[in-house]
Amino acid sequence: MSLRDNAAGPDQTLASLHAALVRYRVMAYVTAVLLIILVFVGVPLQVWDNDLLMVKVVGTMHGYLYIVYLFAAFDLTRRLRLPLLKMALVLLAGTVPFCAIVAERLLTRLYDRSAPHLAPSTAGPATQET
Amino acid sequence: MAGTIEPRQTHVSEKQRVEQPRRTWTSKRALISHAAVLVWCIGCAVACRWQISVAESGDALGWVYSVMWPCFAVFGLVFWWFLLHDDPEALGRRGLRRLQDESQALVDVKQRARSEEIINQAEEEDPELAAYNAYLAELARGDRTKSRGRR
Repeated sequence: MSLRDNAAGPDQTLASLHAALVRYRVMAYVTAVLLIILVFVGVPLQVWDNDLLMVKVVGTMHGYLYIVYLFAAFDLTRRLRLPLLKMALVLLAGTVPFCAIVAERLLTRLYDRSAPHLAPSTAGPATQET
Repeated sequence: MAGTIEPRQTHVSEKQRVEQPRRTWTSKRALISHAAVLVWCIGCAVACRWQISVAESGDALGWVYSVMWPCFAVFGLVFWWFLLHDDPEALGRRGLRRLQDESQALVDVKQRARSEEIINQAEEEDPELAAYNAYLAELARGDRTKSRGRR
């Protein structure tokens, strides 16, 4: 039986932190891609072709999914104990084209650096005296 | 053996802790966030009202956005609530380090309990091993008293 089977604390912390990271990454890519389509396809169509369909569809999708992004990013940045200013920057990154992708890279790297320390290795000399 | 973890040590003195309920709502940081959330919610209300007028003037898309703005206001309120009640000590690099210390302590306790369990089980099954372990412990005790005597 491995120690991990009944180690409640750090493993759960890490599992929920990882789940929060996955949720955030999915939402970051979704909002980033929608915003890029909106700004670089929808807006030119509206300005030069007077075609409003793209802006209306993608604009509303981005608007609502940005709210989901906000909650996912808020959850992850709190779990990673980010200071308030950085937290606000991550939240705002969803409204600037390409910024959400940058924020996603930075937060994933931060997670990779902090996660090993958050769940210290349970493999140790547990049976050294027997 | 159930591993008990010491209650989390906060960096707040007893006096500060007594004053904390008052400070949660009236510290400088809290007052700024009250103002910010007020401006945010008023802004969201104005935007919502504007989208309703857009919708009423014929553009049905306005209805979609008039629901979205209150959602932003709700998020602002959630953010504001956590801003007020979060311990600033728990954020930033120091907060991360504290989290790491806590999880390390939990692992240490569990590991110690597990190895004790394994040793006890092995000794129960094998009296010879139990006797040998007792003999080793006796030797270690003897060593310790001897070295103390030498000093």
